[in-house]
Amino acid sequence: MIIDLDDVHSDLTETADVCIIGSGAGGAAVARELTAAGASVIMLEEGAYYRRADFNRRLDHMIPLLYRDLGLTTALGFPSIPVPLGKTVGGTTTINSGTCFRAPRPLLDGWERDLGVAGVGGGALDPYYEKVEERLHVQPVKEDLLGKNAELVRRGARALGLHSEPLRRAVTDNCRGCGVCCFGCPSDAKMSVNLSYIPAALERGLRLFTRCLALRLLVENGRVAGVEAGFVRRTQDRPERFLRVRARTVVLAAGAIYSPLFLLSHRLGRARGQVGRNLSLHPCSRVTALFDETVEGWKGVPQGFCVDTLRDEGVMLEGIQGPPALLGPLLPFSGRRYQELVEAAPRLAAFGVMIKDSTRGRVRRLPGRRPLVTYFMNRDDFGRVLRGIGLLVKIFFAAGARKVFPPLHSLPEVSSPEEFERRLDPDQSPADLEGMAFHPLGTCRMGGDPSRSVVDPEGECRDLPGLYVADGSVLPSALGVNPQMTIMAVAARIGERLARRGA
Amino acid sequence: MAIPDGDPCFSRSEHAILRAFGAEALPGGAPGAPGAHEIDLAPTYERLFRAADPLALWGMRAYLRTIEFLPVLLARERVPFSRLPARARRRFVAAWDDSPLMPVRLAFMVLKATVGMAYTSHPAYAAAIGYSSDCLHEERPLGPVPVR
Repeated sequence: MIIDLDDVHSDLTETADVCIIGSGAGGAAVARELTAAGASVIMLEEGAYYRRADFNRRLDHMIPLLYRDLGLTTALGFPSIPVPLGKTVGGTTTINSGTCFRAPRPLLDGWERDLGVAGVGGGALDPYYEKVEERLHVQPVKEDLLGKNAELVRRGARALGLHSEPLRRAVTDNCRGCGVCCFGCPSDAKMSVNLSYIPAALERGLRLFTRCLALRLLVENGRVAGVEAGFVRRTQDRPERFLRVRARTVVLAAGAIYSPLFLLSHRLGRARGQVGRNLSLHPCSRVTALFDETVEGWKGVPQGFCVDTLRDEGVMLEGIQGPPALLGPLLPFSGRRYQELVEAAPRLAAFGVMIKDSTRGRVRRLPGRRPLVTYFMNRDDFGRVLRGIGLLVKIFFAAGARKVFPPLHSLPEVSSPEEFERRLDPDQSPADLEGMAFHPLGTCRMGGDPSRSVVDPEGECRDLPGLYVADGSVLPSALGVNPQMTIMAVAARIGERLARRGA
Repeated sequence: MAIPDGDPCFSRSEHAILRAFGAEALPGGAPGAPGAHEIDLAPTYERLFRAADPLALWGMRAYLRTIEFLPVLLARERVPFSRLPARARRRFVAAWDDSPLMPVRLAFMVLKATVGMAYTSHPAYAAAIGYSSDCLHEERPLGPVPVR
């Protein structure tokens, strides 16, 4: 059952076994496990439920509907890094590229061994990954959907002897290569959780309240007793109606920016000072290249291909193209030179660099439930980004590019790989980078040591019995690969254990 | 803080600031490609911010007003941004884009991204570069969503 703001004409009181805050990767996985076990579950989602008919392939229409703050949520620092977040049923899975990786086994073993996250090492997470992969239809991108952008990168990588391959994605055979995965899939092909996990949970009795913002936790006798929420229209700032959910278990799954914010607003975790700390982002950037031949990079899967030669060093090169309305705002220069590049869009290719970061940022709370996100990239990480950028410069020239545009303020255009090497300042500042990030993680980290973690290995908040966290915020460190599957596998494990305990 | 239904998000003077910035950032020039000031981007700005969170709109309006009066403090001409002579405005925008200070450049990027997205979303631009939003395999029929 879905209850939207427009369906509600008076304040409501509901009762459930479990109330889940957030409908993204984590919340949906928990909901599915709990409803399958017969628990009564209520889910609160701040955004609306949009469907195929709403996804019109126009960025200027979709961004205000699907993205929080028009996609301009920013981690302040040097450089400041935009971190676009979803605000809709399905959360960021509705607006991501659908790329799926398992976390590297040694990393999971390290979480168990060094951080006390029992139950994730030694392959213990594999059954959960398998379930997620099956339900999301994870498969490699088919050759006929890769598009010219990927073809050029493959050409360049082969010329340099680098390993490259199609990425694995959560997608069905309905994919037609529309190139707008990040703005709502118009083919219902990308298996974001609004199309996969949530419909399955709804069939088993999930009650989903949309445009319904969790305002505060109800606490009785030192344990959680429910949630108070408000129905809020996107263009308004005050709730029109209120909802009180009585539940002995609450699962917070609002993502690595808003989950710590919610805890901080309840003064939870302050004694240990861990809430909001340990933020990793997987900083990204993009390199654009001008070719003489037509690329039309908007045709095909935007993130369908990768060069993983530097993966062990924490550098992944992954596709990042899309419609001109996405490419245009991110090109360098202004005035005539910018206009020339914007007009050359059909001959532009673009590819992304993503790193496994060692920098740690922080989420703090500002008045009015707003987050202050800070992240100061260290020189090691910046060096890794530069290494990835340098490799992409070589790949594009090897593929026949005429000019390449690195995302560096002091070096916005080069005509050869040698020019890039020659002009790159060894003391280049991270502030010179034009970056983005799509994978905030770690701000309510899971662990065995109460002094260094916010939740225990079962996901339960150390400061409030009955309150669980199940989203990217509990992953204790950066993965180096796209985290959706790991978030879902860990959340499914939390949900399964809650179900076993009769939550 | 929220805008009442039916009211525009931006005032006329705020649209003038966006238009003036667009004229410098995307001046047009190539055959068939209009400049940002030659096409009406106001409905796109309104659409973007109408559906946005109230705080995003409030932030953008405050930001536009700051831009408008910065040249009064910093430029030789001492007039608001939207009324700067073309050459002075070009100089102001170029210096802003090329600032050695990252926060200043970031502020520039926010406005450039807004104007750039509105421009590159416009049908006149799509027509000029031959962009269509059709899928690579538009002809393929869509099957049901297989929920497992």
